[in-house]
Amino acid sequence: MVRIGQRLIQVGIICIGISFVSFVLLHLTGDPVTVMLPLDAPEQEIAQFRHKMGFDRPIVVQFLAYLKNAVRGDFGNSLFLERPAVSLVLERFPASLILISTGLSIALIIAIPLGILSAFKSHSFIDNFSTSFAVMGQAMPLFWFAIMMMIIFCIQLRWLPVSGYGTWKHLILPSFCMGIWQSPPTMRLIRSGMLDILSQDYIRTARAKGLSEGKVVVKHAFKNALIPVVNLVGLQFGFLVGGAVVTETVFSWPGVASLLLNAIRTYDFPVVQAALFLLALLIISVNLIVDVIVALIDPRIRDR
Amino acid sequence: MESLGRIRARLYRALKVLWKLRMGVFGAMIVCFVCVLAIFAPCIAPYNPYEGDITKRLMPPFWAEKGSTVHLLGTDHIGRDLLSRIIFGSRVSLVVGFVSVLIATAIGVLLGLIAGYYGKIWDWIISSMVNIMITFPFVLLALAVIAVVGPNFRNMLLVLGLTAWPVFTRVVRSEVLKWKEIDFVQAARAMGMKGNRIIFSEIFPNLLSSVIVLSSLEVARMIIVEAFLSFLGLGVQPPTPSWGGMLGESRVYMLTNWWLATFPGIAIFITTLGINLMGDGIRDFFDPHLRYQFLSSSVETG
Repeated sequence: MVRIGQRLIQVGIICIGISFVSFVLLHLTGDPVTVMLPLDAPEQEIAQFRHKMGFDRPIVVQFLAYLKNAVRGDFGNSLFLERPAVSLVLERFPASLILISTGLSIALIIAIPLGILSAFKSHSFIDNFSTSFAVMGQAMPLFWFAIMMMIIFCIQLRWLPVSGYGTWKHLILPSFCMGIWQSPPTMRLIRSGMLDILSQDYIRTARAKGLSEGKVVVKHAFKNALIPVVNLVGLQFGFLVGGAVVTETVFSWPGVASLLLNAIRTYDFPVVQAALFLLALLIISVNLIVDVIVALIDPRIRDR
Repeated sequence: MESLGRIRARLYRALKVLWKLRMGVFGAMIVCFVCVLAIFAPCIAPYNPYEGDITKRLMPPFWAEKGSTVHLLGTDHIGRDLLSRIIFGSRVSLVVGFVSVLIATAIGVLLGLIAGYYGKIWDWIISSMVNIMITFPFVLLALAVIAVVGPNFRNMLLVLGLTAWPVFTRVVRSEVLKWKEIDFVQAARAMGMKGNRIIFSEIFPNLLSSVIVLSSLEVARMIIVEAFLSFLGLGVQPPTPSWGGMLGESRVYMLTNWWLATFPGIAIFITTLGINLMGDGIRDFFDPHLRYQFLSSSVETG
């Protein structure tokens, strides 16, 4: 309970921090009004707009007001589409979540067997193979990999649509790219986690009892190796969102990240702030959920 | 005087260590190669990277149909030589990678030392900042800030440097916590040495190896982020040749003229691969066990 309480305080701090960052962002431009209005706007309109948006108040007051609205989910209307920024962002959430979750699943499907095998048979062919795969994967820029996949599978072979959203065919390539990109770090962590567990006493005991290697791996080692994997999913979630930004841009996938990018380009600040805030909230909640799951499956934490 | 046998044995040991670090050596060779390309770009590049011949636009590489050895890797959409642009592009990548990591290292290490050594309120403030920055995807932050302050070379350097420091702070802080308890640091404190001096003359030298390893890996990451930013048009502005920018500029042509997308990407890939291998090699070299072998090869005999 104490742990969860501590975590909640941390969440609060992080939320305020992120809103502070996105608030400061707007003011980094010097005068936000000049960015939001057309260059030839008349003096009077500028003054009116400034008053309407509250930019004429002291900066501390502005931040507090902003924070109050942010907590209520009110970031104001998008500057271009006369609609609440929050609903614009929320509309895009499902697409991003689909991409991230399929990407993550593919990464786990690749990384778990490779990680376990390479830990078990360290310095074997499979270990060398997966280590080189990890080294190469880490050096590969995701956006370039996505472009190359597009050229091969969409342009040359014509198996898949180039971009768009809707059917499972559209999902294959983006999620595959995310998965391949995410699997090397995941695999490395599973491998080191497994190596760690395999040197523990209870594994030696299980082997000494005469259990088959398969049973040792599946029943004793893997169950315990799952804990770091779940933890990892939480830690890497922010990283995955970063990957989604790249993938969504290259494949014109209609998710939050591509909306955010467009908003950044057009200086649509309410949308930028809403998207940054909600993404941060998403990342934090995933982290919290992961913490709870780990607490449930790890008897060392559960029984404390 | 040493006998021939001893010298040979020493040589043998040194070579053995080098062989163990062969991937790192290979990486270092790649990095040196790219550095040479960047420094001597005007002498090496066959053409001016800024001037194109529109009549020769979109020429494929020499081995493809309709390609010619005049332009080894082909030309882009306004007829500029791709190879020359890739050679010049190495300059941007290396400068951005190294300078932004230098900024990030300076900030990150300093804050990590303060948080780890002084603890209390300092630790709380710095750690909260680190947590906020690490929870949030760094690319998004960089993107948003650059778009707001205006995309150009200097801003990109600053933004990358100012957003990448938390990794360093985190590592340095946890290392300092460990070293702080070690006898010689305690002894220095008991002798009345001032905090700042303990940090810089007693603790910091021990962290150097982890900081160097981490920085080298970060350089590779920064090069990739820079390429992505330039690809989006938020980084280095055309016509300056940069690998990411080349991918972005020819976006429309890139899918049908594969070489435009392939070669700049391969350049990024090879460079980051080289840096990563070198970083791993440095880590292995700092590994006490291996280092002992290496040092003993020059100190010990036989």
